[in-house]
Amino acid sequence: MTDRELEARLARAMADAAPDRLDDLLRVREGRRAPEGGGDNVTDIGEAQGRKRRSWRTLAAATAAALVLVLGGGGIFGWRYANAPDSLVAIDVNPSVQLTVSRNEKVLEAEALNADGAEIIDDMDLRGSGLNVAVNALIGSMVQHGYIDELRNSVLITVENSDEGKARALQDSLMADVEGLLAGNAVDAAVVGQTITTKDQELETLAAENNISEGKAALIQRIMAVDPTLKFETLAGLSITDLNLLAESKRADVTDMAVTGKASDKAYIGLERAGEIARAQLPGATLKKVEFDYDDGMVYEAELLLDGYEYELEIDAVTGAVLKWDWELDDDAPPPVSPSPSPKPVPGETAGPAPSTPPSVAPQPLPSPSTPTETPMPSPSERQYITEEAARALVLAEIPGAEFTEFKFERNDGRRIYKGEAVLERTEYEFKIDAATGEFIKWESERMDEDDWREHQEKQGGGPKDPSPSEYVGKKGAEDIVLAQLPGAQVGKIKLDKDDGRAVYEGKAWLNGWEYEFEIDAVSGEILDWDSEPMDD
Amino acid sequence: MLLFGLAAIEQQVFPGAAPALEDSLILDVAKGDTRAFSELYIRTHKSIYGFALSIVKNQQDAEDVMQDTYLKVDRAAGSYQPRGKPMAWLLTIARNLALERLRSRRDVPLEQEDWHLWSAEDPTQAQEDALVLEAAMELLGDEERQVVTLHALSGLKHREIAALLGLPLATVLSKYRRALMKLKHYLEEVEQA
Repeated sequence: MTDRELEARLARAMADAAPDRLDDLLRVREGRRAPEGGGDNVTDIGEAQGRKRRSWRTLAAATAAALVLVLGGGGIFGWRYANAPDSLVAIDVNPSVQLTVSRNEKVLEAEALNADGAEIIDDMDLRGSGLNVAVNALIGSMVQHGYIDELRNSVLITVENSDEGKARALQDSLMADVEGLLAGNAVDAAVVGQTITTKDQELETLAAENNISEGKAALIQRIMAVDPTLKFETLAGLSITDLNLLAESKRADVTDMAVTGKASDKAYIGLERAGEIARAQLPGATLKKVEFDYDDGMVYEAELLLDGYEYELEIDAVTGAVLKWDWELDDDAPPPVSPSPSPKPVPGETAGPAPSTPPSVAPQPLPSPSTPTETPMPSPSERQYITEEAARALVLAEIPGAEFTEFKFERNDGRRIYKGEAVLERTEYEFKIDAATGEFIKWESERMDEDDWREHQEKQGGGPKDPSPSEYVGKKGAEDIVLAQLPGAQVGKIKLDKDDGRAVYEGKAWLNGWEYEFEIDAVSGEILDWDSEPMDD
Repeated sequence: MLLFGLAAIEQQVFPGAAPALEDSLILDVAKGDTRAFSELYIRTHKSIYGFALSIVKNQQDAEDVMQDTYLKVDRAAGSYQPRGKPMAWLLTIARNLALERLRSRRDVPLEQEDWHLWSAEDPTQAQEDALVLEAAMELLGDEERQVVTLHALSGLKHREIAALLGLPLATVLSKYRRALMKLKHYLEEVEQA
């Protein structure tokens, strides 16, 4: 059992034990505020009630009653055993709302799982209303608040009930309801339904941590099963429409899900247009694949083939701008027809429709295999490899004025290559050059995001730094602080990082089968965070 | 707004997942806003109750401490200094009241508590959870229990716990670790038996 599970069990037990005395408190408070209430003598409610110990069951009833009181809802609502929670119904669009539903399909509780969901529920009191009435109200509110329209048309319905047949029946009737409702609002809806019949602790935790429903978490897991490079936290922030598009594009396994309609991609330029943009970048190339994807935003990823090189382009799904692109010798391709492939992505020269934003990051590598005449001949022992200087010159010919951040000579698949990275105008280039031929075998360029750029500037000695690193306790100092807590521990690599703008040392340590994770203020040496977990769990 | 608070109750079971309390809520309570008072209660009473329980080790006293805490908060909200730590403020009030209660009933023997409590959703899980609660009450030292409760239920960081209990951070860290180790050993024994 992990620390986390253990803590969760303790927390649950205590939370379950906590009685609800809000109604009593409000009464006492009211009395105290009333003009003739006077005095401060009613602090002990227990006494006032004759200190009768109530069973937990009646306390639950009191909770329910107290909540109705607070919410100012109608007085019809009562908690009876017959009205015990039966199914959980989650509705996700981007707002996530979860309804606890009784056997007779009455709503026992409506819970917003995220801020958008809270906006949707607003001050609606759904308790006690029939499930279809509640769903009607919620979907109506989502349309009204602009969360569902032609551009974002997908709704996820998840029904949780241990009885599979019941869950599926409820799912089907809800899906039909929602479709009908949206058709009435002139929205061509895509409704996705799924059932959950067994409790899944992992799913529950993921959902709670990310403020989404278990249903949405399950959908994200399906997508991540086919593309593990995606991050759960980022996908959690996407709308169901985007997730639906991703699931479709990545061919996630949705066999046991019910799907009607088609996720709208009208908010985006569309696959076809993305393909056109990609081809316009590289006239004559064969378009191998275009796929909807996520990379710091919704993008289309296009793969093209030309003269034995494989090109990959990333296109902003909203603006059509080329965000990133790279090319590599295509190992699977038959040897290029021309002996000297000369990939020339020249965006400006294309005849086709130009992207709305010129791909400023696209390099124009003109790898020329011709022997660099001005460089000294390599010595025979080095066979006929070009010198490092010549290789650097080749790169600088493409991106004059760039700074090298890395440059290496190494063996790669029996081939000698120069590889490295360079930065020019906030764009980072990665390259590999065949050391024998002087030919580029890889060229990749990417616009640096804020963090990378700042880090780069700092490394180059520029950029403002608040407390100067000379004031830091140092990695050794951080290690000593950890060892003071854990004498004899083995301390792993310590990393200097920024957390909310404050410099911190982060790392891990191990002692007696436990793993510790720590965060230490780089200036004060104060331990800011400390987590421990047994290593074998 | 209030319903969002309800969601927070559930989230509190996962430490740190609940949205942090805002200063503005206490300031609204100071203005006599009943909704704000109710929201504050709904979002925090489980943490307050659990912390009180970890000190007084008795359900009736913990319940009384919890109530007194909110009445005191209601009276004292006007003098609250917004420093972005309303939860620490609430917990400090609860701690003082709990210690006061402990002192006043020093000579009264405690009756044996039954920690196997009723839970609405899943009786099996409730039984398992109650076992941890029981172990926490019976096996842990007072400070160990308080530290682990604050970490598990209120999602406080170790250094915040250290500040609240007036203990050195290193002490909090070692108590936390010992507490979890004791609980784990106990549960493993019970589950094997």
